[in-house]
Amino acid sequence: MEDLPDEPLMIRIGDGDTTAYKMLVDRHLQPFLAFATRVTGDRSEAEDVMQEAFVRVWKTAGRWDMNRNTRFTTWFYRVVMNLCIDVKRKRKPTSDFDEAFDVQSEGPLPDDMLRDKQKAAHISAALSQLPERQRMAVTLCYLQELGNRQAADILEVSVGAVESLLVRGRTRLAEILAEEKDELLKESVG
Amino acid sequence: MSDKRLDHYLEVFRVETNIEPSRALMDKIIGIPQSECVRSEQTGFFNLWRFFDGLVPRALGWALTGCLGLYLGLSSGNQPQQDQAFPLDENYYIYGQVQVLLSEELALEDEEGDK
Repeated sequence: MEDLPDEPLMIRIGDGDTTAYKMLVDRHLQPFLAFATRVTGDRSEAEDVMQEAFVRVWKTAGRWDMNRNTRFTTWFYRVVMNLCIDVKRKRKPTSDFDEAFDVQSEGPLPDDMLRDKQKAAHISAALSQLPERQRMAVTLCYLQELGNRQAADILEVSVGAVESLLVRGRTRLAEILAEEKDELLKESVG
Repeated sequence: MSDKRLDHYLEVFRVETNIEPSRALMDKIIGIPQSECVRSEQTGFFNLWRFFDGLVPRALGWALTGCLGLYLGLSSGNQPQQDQAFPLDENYYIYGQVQVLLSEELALEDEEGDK
């Protein structure tokens, strides 16, 4: 059963096969948890999103249609993406990457590790300032390493539109990071 | 910021956020099929109740339609026939016709008298 693609596994899950369900969880929990973490910027929210997403897998599997020609991952990315958007809309505006990932609370860290965490925090903050579609396109293509075709299917737009979102997203990200760098330099000089 | 630098930042972020799921989360998610709420929604009494719950408005609608049909059917059956309801008043009509005939005869007599 380990060689089975996701879609036949969904059919088995629909019949109540918990082994197939466990296999699907083993296969996809980590990359989708990473995706949810990148989109929400908050680890615990991402974990809640993943629980809800897998509840939907279990409930929807009975209605899964093999003839629909939709890849499981495309459908599941949409589910997780929409749940993340809901979570972000409901959230209090205080959430912060440093808090979410305990950047400061892990005790003394080697310089390189600390620097990487800070860079990650900068990118997370910059990503959260992008418009939603641009943020999703950048996350799917550069961080989840999906092809433009699949990203287009997930976002339900054309490949050309994804390419345009990526170009604008990258440009805006670079601008935000450059602005932050200038501000940090000014602060350190001042 | 250069493209190369941005790619480096994105790669660092990708690695930093690619954390393995905790055992606790894994257990919670794998336990979803056994969890009470999902099971009860799928097969239990709750589902049966939802079926009946959805059936009530439809059954009520059909029952009311049936009652209305019966009421209309019965009330139209009890109504007397048209000729029974309004029996022909023969005297009235005969009287009217006699009057016409008499007036015609009188008119004829007048004409004859004139001649």
